[in-house]
Amino acid sequence: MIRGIYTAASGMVAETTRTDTIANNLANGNTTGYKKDIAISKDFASLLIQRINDGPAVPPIGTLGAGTVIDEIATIQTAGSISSTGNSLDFAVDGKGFFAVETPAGVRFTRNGAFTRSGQGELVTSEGFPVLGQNGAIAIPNGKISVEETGRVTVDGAEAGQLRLVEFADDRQLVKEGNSLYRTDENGQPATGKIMQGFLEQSNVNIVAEMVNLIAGYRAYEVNAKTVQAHDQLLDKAVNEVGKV
Amino acid sequence: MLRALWTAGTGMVAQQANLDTISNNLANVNTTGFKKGRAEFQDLMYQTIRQAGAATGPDTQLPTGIQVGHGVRQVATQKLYGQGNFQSTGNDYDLAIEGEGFFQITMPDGTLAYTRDGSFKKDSQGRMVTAEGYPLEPQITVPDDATSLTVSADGLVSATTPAGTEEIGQITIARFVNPAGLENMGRNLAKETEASGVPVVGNPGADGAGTLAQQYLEMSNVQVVEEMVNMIVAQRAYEVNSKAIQTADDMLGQAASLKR
Repeated sequence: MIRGIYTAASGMVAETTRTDTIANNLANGNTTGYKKDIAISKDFASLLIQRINDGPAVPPIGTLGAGTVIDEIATIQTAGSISSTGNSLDFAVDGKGFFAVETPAGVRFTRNGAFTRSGQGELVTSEGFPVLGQNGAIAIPNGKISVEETGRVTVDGAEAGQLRLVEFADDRQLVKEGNSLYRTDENGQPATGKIMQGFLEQSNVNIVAEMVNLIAGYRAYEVNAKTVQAHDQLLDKAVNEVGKV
Repeated sequence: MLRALWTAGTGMVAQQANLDTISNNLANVNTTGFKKGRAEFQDLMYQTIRQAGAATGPDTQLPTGIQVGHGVRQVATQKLYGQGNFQSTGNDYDLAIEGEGFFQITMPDGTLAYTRDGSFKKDSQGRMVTAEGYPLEPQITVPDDATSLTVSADGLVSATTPAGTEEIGQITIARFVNPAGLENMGRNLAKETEASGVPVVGNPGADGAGTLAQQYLEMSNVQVVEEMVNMIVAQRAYEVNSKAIQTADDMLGQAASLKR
């Protein structure tokens, strides 16, 4: 059939995925420590059109694209705005760095520093996973907890542990796992970021930009739909009118 | 159908829960000893369409993958146990805890409940009770002819009668490793759970426990301005998610009208 139908349809499919990504950003516009995703598309490897029946020495007559495909969904690790909560168990990272969290599936990383104390007195995430220090989970007995910029935790002045804050040479290796957690095979290195107690990092989603992207994505979808329709009309003519006697 | 429809739907649901929490905070802005709640969110699972690190050739691999998220979910409504403001009342039976800890209350079924609301009263038997009539634990019985009641910062209660001043009891307060894990029962009462840990009971002022202030009440720790800002943020977040749903729906409409 007409190649343009498939080309335009590939545009519609790509814009659908882009809209999915934008919808996820908007849904998490209020999620602590969330980092936005952007869908990056690329054109299909351009097709070489060749003249047929020209023998072995085929001279190319040019290239033709065959639509688009989402190549990558990249997570943008820029800082979110930091808001004051006044809660002593809320931590934000100013600069680079992720908190290490012990989950049943292994060590995971997060920027969501809304922690609590478990019934056993350990520092845990809101799902109950222990937040890791240099020597395992951090035990914080009853008392006034205070965390320095370097991650040193003291309770009523007595040392309770040192938070493990890690950064990675390439943040793109981090895979989102949901529940504010990232997974990676790398071990990372000690981070340069500073810990701020009593603050939370908001998501870095810019609502205005996302709304603009939503409109742009929708219009791109629309024009692709129109292209499919135009091609369909051409086919209609070819099938129903050209052959008419 | 489009993933975006469901994804944006989760966003609307989450913001609704957020607004519920904010409304409850605002409704209790004047409730003695009330502690504000905060809705916490996390992103939902991700669908991996293409795995990062997959081999694309003998020595090459994909640097990044394609993962599409599925929205957001509420993970907790955390109570924030920051200190509320103190209000002077001039009433001898009003107590406020300055610092950590809870008053212990004996419930009708014999179990203990915990509260920061120190607006006690005297019942017909002279016991110090909550507004609901539940006695304070350990029980304090005030003599009939008492002209005044004094509670010291460390919880020692003494009553002055025409015969003189005598000690009538000691108020103890309970502390929890994780007060945010207490189960809220409403009526200013909370119950111990596995998450809160077991109560550590002691005299006020001892081992880091809070001290008592007589003739004062602790107001709620809700900050109206903060809640109003949160409310605006929640409303707008709700709104953009509904726009995303509309857009996804329009896209489906476009797809449906391709075939005429």
